[in-house]
Amino acid sequence: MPTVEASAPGQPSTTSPPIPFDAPELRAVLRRPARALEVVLAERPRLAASIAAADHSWQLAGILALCTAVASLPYGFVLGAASFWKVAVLYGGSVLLCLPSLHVFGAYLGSHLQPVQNLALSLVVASVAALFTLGFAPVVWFLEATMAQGDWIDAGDASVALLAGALAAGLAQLTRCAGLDRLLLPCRSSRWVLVAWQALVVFVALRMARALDLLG
Amino acid sequence: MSLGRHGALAQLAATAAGGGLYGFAIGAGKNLTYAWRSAVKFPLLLLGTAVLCAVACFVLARFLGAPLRCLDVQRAAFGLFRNVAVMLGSLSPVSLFLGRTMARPDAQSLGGYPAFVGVNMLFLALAGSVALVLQARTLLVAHRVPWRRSAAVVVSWLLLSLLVGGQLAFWLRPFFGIASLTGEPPFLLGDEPTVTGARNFYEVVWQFVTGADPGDYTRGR
Repeated sequence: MPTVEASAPGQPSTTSPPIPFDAPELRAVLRRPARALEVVLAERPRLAASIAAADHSWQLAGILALCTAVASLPYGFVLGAASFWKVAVLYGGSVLLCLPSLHVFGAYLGSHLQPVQNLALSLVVASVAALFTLGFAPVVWFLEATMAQGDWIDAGDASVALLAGALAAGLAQLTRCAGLDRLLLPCRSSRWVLVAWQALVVFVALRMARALDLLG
Repeated sequence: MSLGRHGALAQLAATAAGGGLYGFAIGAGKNLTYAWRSAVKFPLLLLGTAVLCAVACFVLARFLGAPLRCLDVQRAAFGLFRNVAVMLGSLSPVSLFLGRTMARPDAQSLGGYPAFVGVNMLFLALAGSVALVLQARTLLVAHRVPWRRSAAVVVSWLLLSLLVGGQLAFWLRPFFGIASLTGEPPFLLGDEPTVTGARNFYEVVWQFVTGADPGDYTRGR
């Protein structure tokens, strides 16, 4: 398993460029789901390098999509047995709806990323947000159990705040990843595309949350 | 740094003992019933907060770039609560003394109760701040996490713990004994409204921040 020596997670190496994840490493996530946390959250330089390298983009996109679907399940079940799918659709659906705009605007303004690379980049947002909801699931269960309905602030409001916080973490991770590799943000206009696209994702996610009845 | 089963049990015992002592002290300001109940509830508050936040703490640590394993995070987070419990335990004689000597609340006035609660909030803030600095230093040295990153991790844990622990404390109240000036008190009040109408911790904070007049509140149900 390739590793980057002298490089703490989250910090670009000063001695050698980060090594993209190879196929066995990505497959290992399926055998050890906890490894998804490392791939998606902790090893940012390698994640950015993997998206930029485009060697195993479909596999990486698959892992990120699976991570989005699975990690958001506990939170979904806390919201209600019939709503178990809603959190995954909230994040996954929102970024997928915005994916074409990222690709097209990016291509017009100097990006040379393939559609699958943009797909992986978009799914970083959804998978990080989903992993955060995994952490928040016990918290929201507790809030549901202890906060009375119909007051000025109730468990539904708290849940909305947690979902928004998870989305903010996903967007922050995307910004940090994109900033780590020149191929992902080749010029200043690409940076503006990314900022505008994130605003679009927030807007769409808000509408999606309303459509899915997640805003209470 | 390895912590075996006995080490974990010792940590748990220290949290229960420190938190229990402090709980007993703050409850004793009212009477023995409150004292024993708070002795049980205060460790529950600390441990419950730690358990509820466990997964989120790990996710936050990895997100913020701390190269910690899940077990390391649980140790650090539980260590934070153990330190708070032990420090509060050391302050329990002071709290007991203050509680037993304050001017008693009665039907006309709250007596020394607000000052007693205020001092104990100060104790909590003090213990929390010191435990925070200690834990940041532990992370820095033992896991070679850069100072700014470890501070960010611990601050995020503290904020999360405050938001979850605040609601758990609200749900487990009363700790100090003001809830029933007369009559047999319930073990916990859950989502019963406060005198200002707040039914959860966040509403208490909201009322405090907006400075709303309790008289203005009309319940929507």
